[in-house]
Amino acid sequence: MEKSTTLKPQWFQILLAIADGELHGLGIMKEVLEQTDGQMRLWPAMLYGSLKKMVDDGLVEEREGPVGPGSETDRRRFYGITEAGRQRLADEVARLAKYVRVAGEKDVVRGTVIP
Amino acid sequence: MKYPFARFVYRMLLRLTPRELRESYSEEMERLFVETLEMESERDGRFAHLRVVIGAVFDLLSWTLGNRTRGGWRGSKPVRSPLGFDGLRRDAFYALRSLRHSPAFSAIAVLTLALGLGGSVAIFSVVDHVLLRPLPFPEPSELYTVWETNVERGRTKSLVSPPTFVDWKESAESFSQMSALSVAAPTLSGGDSPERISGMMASPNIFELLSVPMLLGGSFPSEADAPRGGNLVVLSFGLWQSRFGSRHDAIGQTLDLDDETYTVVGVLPSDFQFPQHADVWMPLTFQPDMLGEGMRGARYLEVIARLRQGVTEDQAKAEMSAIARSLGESHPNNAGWDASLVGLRENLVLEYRSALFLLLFATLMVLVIACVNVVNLVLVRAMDGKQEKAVRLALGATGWRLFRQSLVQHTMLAVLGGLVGALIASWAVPSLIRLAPAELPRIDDVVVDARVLATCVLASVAVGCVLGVVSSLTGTRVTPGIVVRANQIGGAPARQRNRRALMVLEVALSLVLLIGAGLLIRSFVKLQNVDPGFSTSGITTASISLPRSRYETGPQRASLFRDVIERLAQRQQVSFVGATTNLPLSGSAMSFGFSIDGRPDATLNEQLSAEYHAVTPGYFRTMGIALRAGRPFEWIDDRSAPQVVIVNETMARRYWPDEDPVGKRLTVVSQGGPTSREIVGVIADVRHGGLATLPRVEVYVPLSQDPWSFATLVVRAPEGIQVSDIVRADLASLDAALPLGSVLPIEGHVARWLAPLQFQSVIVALFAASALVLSALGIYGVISYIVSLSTNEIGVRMALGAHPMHVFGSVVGQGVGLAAGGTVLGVAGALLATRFLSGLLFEISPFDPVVFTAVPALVVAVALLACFLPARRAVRVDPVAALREV
Repeated sequence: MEKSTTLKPQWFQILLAIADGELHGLGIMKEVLEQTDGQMRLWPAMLYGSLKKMVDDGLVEEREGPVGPGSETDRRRFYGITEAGRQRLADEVARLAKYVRVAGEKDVVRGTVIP
Repeated sequence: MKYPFARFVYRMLLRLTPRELRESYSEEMERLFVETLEMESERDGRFAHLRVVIGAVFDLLSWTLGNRTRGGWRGSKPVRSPLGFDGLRRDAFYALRSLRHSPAFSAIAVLTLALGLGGSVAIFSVVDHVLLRPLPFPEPSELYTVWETNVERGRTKSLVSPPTFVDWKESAESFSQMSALSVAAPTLSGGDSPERISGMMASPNIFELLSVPMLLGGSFPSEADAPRGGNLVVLSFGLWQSRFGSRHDAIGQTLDLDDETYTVVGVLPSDFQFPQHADVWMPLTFQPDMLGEGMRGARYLEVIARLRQGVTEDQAKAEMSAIARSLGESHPNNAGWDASLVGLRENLVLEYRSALFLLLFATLMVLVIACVNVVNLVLVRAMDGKQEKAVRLALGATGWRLFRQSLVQHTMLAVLGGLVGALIASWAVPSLIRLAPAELPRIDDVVVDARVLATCVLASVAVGCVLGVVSSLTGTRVTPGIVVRANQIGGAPARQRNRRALMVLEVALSLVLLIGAGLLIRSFVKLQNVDPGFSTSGITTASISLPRSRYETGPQRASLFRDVIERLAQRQQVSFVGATTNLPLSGSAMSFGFSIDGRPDATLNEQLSAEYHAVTPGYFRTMGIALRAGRPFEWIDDRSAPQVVIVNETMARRYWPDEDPVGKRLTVVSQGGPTSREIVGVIADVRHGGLATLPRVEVYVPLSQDPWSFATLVVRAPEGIQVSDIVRADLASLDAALPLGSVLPIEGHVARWLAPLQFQSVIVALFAASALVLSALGIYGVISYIVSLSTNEIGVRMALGAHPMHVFGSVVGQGVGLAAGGTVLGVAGALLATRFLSGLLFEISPFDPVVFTAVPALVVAVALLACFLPARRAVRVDPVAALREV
């Protein structure tokens, strides 16, 4: 278990971005940019390279995009999280949460309030 | 589609990625790339494109390298390339990572190289299109232009008269085809309103000569040049589209040109290009009166010929000279005239070649300066990376390995610079085209295409290799032992010397460039201030061309011009009005032979010739050309009155140095053959041929006594009056079917004449300015580095009581020393180099003392400025802190 739980940061952010609904490439890029406060920008090769591997690993699957009135879903590819993906994300969140808790107990960053 | 060029580059780079990724995602990736471009430029316009492109390129390269080196895709076995490409790939990945880890260095180096490479690529793409590419005809090297020349009269390239052309064509054996051309501007009617279009009259064999197949229909039949040989026309692709909606049944249809009906016989293919654009091509026909003896002096045809296979240029030239000699023996108007051959392409670009090569030279200088700057940066980094290298050597890396690494790293740097440079070029080229003189042949076709891009990449790789070698020369000499003494301060003295030498070189190069730019600008300003002999403001010019069908006789033509001018003169808004056949600086000129009555030294047989103008009363006053003696023309000087002529000052001085020419008689050849005329006035000199051309011998005759079918109206009106509307209205009231040709303020003619000079001055000045900025940055970098290395030394000196001013002075002194060395070298270089400029300079010596003092002073001043910041930092060194670090 230990070997595979550590998620690459980009994978983690992508899973997080699509956790509440499928998105297309630009959507994921924007969502990640937002949830990392602009710290992580997923450029095309990094994004699609990661998506391909995550699809191969069964964490992500390609889905039909939402069809709205006049929506420009033409040939756009949407990506949604699979059950396996959700499980990996939950594991990673739990792992990170543990470290945050430990750090809080040790008061590593003096004066900073850790939630 | 937005960002076509960025997309193109991105798509090229996508090919580097593993096939599995590319096949399933390339479309999505390109879309995301474009969307990122759009998003970023909306959010923050400045440099957004640049940032996104650099980011995306980094992403593609580093991701690809990272995934390929780590054994490729999951499931596939890592394959070891037998040629060591695997290692190269690892080097490349390592190089990218290290570039990313020092973003400031990478950005400055990439941008500096991009500036140099981008400028070079932009200018190269122009030079390539205009000068280097072959003409778009089969066997273009066989195509020649043939000219009449007359050494005695300083006419190296004169157009050819119709009778001479006919004689040439009949006798010359060296050519398989010979064709004459004359520009026309027919009026196309039948649409909503009559329209002036561009046309070309050419011998019927022109398309066989050029070997151009028709898209539709055929070329002219060979008898099409017989007088009234059927009005036939060949359409350009553009006119066929707009007039006939690309219909295939256009052949055989008719077109109304100049009130005559023409039958369409052929349509040219869309990729047909001829140096001068033409909407329609018509057969050039010679009426019998145009082949008379008197017309041998009317030189207005351009002649193109195709060499017969197996005949050399020299043989053809010899044959043409022999023909010209025999023509000269039998026809007085041909005496003294030889023939010359110039390759068609060479002829097109002749007058621009030196200017374009000058620009290319200037950009290459900027490129060299940019490279010197980057070498300097690289040297600093090589010094900083010494420790790392020492560790790697100690761990068993070979010197070759490190060299290869450095080569790869710098090549990547340069290629990145080249890519950004190509982007800069693709943005710069459209502005360059706008700035360029419209007469520059094929300028509209200039694009940054694969050919130019390939050149750019090759240049980048070459630059990268040079950088890699230079940095390795200092880098691989590191020994493992140095790790122990890693905290040694300062570089080896030898290396400091190298860097200083580079700085001196850089300053010298930019000085040469700046002096060149200074000379060009001063020459340009002088030209602008030349007195052309006529007023260059407040005058509107409008050309009129009368169709021969309705204005066949002289009196018809004369009365139309007279009526238009009298109507305009009655208008309150118009101050003065007149007309001439040849407007100054417009490029139109006529030249005819003359003789002076009663003077054995000046007979028609001696072939004197003068620039010839037919003008109306009011022309001199409107143009502000001063009358020196006698009287101007009046309306009474018409066909029935005594024939009169006005000469210019140059002519008066040359032929009547000690007497008054007024009252003397001249015989001037013109449309109606030789006519004896009385000189009634002397008029001031005008620079007809160009501001840099000295006035020639000129005669003016009344338009009413020699009515041509074309003339240019000149109208002087107070500011704010829409002259073109008035002229159009008055012309329409006389003849509604007559279109007005180009309406242009007189400033336009001057500006058009100055445009090529302005183009080269502006561009060279731009490059010189960037060279200056780059060298200032270079000096700043070196002095800063020296200061940072000698922080301790400065600290000690300050602690021992050195005055801050002394410290300041010594730092600035070092920089100024470098600048002074560069200046001396640069002035010496400029003295050698500027002689090549002399052909482009006007009334200014290539060693102009003003430029040669002002520019070096400017360079030294900029160097001072560049030293100022590091010097201030040196003064602020805290002695205590500095000493603690020793």
